[in-house]
Amino acid sequence: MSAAWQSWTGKLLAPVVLGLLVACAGEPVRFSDGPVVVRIADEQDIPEPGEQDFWRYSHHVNNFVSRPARLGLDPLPPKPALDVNRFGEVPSSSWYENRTSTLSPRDVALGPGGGDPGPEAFKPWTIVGMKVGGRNPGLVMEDSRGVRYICKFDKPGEPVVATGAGAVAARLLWACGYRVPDDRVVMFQRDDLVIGGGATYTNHKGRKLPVTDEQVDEVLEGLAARDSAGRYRSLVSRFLPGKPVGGYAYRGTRADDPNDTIPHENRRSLRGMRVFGAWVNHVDVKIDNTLDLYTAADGRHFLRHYLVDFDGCLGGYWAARHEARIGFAYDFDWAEFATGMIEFGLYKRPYEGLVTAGHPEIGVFEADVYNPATWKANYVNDQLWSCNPADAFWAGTVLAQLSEAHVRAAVSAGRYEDPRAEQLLTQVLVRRWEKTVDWALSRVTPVVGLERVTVDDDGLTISPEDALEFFGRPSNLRFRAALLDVDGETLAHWDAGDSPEVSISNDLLSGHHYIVVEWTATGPDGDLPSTQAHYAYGDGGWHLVGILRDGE
Amino acid sequence: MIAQKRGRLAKKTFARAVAMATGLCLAVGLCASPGKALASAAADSVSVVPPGQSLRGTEQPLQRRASPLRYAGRAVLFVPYAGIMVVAWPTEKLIEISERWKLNERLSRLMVWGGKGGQVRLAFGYESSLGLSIAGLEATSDDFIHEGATLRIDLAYLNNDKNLAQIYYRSPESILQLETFARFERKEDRPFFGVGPDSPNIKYATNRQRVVGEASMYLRPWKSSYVVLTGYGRAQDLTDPGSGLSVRDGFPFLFSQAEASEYVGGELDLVIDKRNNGIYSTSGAFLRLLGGYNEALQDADESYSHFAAEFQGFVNLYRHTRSLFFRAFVAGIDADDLARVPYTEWERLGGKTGGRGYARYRFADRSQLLLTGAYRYRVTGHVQGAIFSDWGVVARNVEDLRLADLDPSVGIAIAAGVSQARFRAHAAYSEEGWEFFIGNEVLLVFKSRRLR
Repeated sequence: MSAAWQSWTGKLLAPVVLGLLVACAGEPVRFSDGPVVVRIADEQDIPEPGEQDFWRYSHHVNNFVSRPARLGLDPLPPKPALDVNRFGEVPSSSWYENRTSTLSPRDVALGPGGGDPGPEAFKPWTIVGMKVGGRNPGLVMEDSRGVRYICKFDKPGEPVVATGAGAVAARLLWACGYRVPDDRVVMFQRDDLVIGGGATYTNHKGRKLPVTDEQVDEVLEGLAARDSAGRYRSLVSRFLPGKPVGGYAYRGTRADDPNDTIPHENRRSLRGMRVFGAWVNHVDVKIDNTLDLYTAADGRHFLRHYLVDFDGCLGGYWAARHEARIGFAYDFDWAEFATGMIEFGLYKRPYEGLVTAGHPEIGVFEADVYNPATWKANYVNDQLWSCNPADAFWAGTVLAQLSEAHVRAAVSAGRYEDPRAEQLLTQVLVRRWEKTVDWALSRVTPVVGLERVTVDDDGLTISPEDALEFFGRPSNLRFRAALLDVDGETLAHWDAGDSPEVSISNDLLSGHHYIVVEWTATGPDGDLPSTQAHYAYGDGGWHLVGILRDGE
Repeated sequence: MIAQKRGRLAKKTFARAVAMATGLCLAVGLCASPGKALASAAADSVSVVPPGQSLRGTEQPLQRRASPLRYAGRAVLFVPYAGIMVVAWPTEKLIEISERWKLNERLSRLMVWGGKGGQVRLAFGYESSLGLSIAGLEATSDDFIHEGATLRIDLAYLNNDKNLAQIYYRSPESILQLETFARFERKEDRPFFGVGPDSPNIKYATNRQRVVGEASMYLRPWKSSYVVLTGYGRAQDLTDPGSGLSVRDGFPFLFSQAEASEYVGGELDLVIDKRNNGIYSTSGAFLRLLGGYNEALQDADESYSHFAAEFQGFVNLYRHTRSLFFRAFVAGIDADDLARVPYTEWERLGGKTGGRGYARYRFADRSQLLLTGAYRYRVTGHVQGAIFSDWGVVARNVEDLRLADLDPSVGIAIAAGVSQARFRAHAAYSEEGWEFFIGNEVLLVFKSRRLR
């Protein structure tokens, strides 16, 4: 047997042996007692990172071949998320901000811009740059305060759809905790625009030339929708604070950012986009729709990580491409390819009968066929692919904290011409919200309030709630629970019934300082993956030290 | 173990106190929440940690849990994965390098001097009756001098097919549009299967090199219709092949009396194009009528006129994802003495564009009829599949074309396309066996009478 063969055999067998070792190890996970991390201080001072390049065509090959092969041919489940505290929640960081539970509907309507009145209160606007030709022509302008914005427009023949979607989706994703720019719909007259002295555009030969009135007119007449009052309509995005240094990669960490210690595919905050993205149909989740900014605060310089460009959400991407598969299949879908080759078009895919939501200002964005379990973005994305049941449950708990009032408030920011469009979009979003929350919370045994522990003379009572009921969703789950000791040995089990509450007698607790209670819910489709809560005895009582949900 | 843990807890008391202060501040914010706060918000012990520190609080790192079967499956699937990556990874890196250094644009700019750098594309193909064709290079500038004007340069070494150099220019699209190209090509062992019942299946060959030049004027009075007026000239030189049977041996009269032929001519095309847009048409119709005259410059050759009519119809069956396609094509030449028209001017059938299932140039004569029917369906994004049937016949005269003589073939095809590249593959079966083709879009083919 040659050395090369032995070497390759070793490489192939190593994961098998390692896997067997891991699988057979079986040592139960235990939590040490300690504080709950609510913030990762990843905004430490760092040297300025270089700009991360994005190579479009190479990226397409990666999208269509390499990444689907790498992920699709790996049967192992994703690794447990790492940006997670002992309760399975995502601490705030430069990536994510726990803000959902603090937001009122008015906050959502205002979005990341807060009380800022936006550029409409500060006219005229000075054009400082312009992009002509190409796929996405637009303007760069400054309002009279000197605040700079990018102006984007609707697709020809599809007025309102993309601009409305951009403003609404930005608010919804911001409400879910992501950092996004202040995107808003604005109306303006041609007279509100003046051409700045140094404003240039790049012509077809790559030469920079001064912007002229004719070119501005051409862009506006060709693209910008007008409202009934004859005003032009645009989606403006306020320049973010700091220096842009490119988008963040699908996986791994950024080598020149010491604060970036958790591989991106192992961040629950990013994996959660599988749930949030499904809700708002954020299909265009790719590197160049994210942005890292080298930001200064309190004398420190660090990177903050943003999502950008949401005009493809809701029905926006459909307005550009007019493909029914958006949200249902990848741009190039290998699974569909394999089945499509032998079906000869005889099978009608569920999405093929889709029609518009019922209003031309919304496009194709619906809730009837929508299924969060099968939703797909345009591309295979490591972060979305790695979303395991525990990640989805976390995202479900965040999403569930929003209400119809929040959704209505966000939709109002779309400034739809027709009130019926606003009403319809709200209805669709709420129905998708219901489906998404129900699906996400049911990926594991949905128990919350696990920290509710009371001790009396008879023993210990743990009073969690069914997460679906906690968030006002219908539930017909039945729960059973098991008590385990520190070594994972089962001490007792209960059929808890409709409520997950359990009482543990002092006899069972005697001699133990660390216990694990494992709940398993049974639904119409059988058992859900279990949820474990770990309790430690200390300071005269029992308290929750950690939660593990299936997939971890 | 529990005692050890208690010891660690005692050491953390101070840290917890500090953390609690921070937590209180956060708790104030969360208590003001109108939503339903979960566990950590209710906890009385919170902390802020620097990056890289364990957040989870477990005594051992969490491992992913998977059955040994899955690990074994991973080892097995590594083989196809490695196979895919052997092809995909270098491709990806080459494209990345090309983008990083703007190689595509630089090369394009170099080839189409004076224009903004556009696309440089490689052509490849495998056709079972011809073998592998590879290394065609096409550079295009869509902004040559004037915005919207196209300049294209093709250089190709297409094994067994065509070796050519070509320059092509098209003015910006308007009511009156100009198009012109000049082309030199060399083809070795161009096959000829004979004609008539005497020896239809014997393969003869010739070497040919040719210079072609033409200029066209497009009149676009209506959105979907146009008229093309073209003037052209071509000169070709025919020699015996390196091996095998020469056409001269079997059919000396086909070779023309001289070893070269020279023609100049003109053609008028009328096109009505009502197909829907997109990578693949799924509805509408296309009609093309053309006629022209070819003047032989050498006495040995015969001057002749030619005509052709083509109709394509698309029937959208379901939401532009399934459609039926029909094509009828009839063409012919007419001369006082048809026998003196060199065979290279004849109509031909077979190969990847017409009469699939038969070898390239399998049938040749002075007139042809080709009928095609296909059912096309969407496979996935950018990919369309088709089940097709071609029925073709050639004859000396148009009136001799009979439906009863049509040679049928059937096959399946797949086409994948994005704006930058398109690929096509088919497998077709006829009474003479299977023919296969795979390759990217036929970059270098002009479906033109002038390039017979």
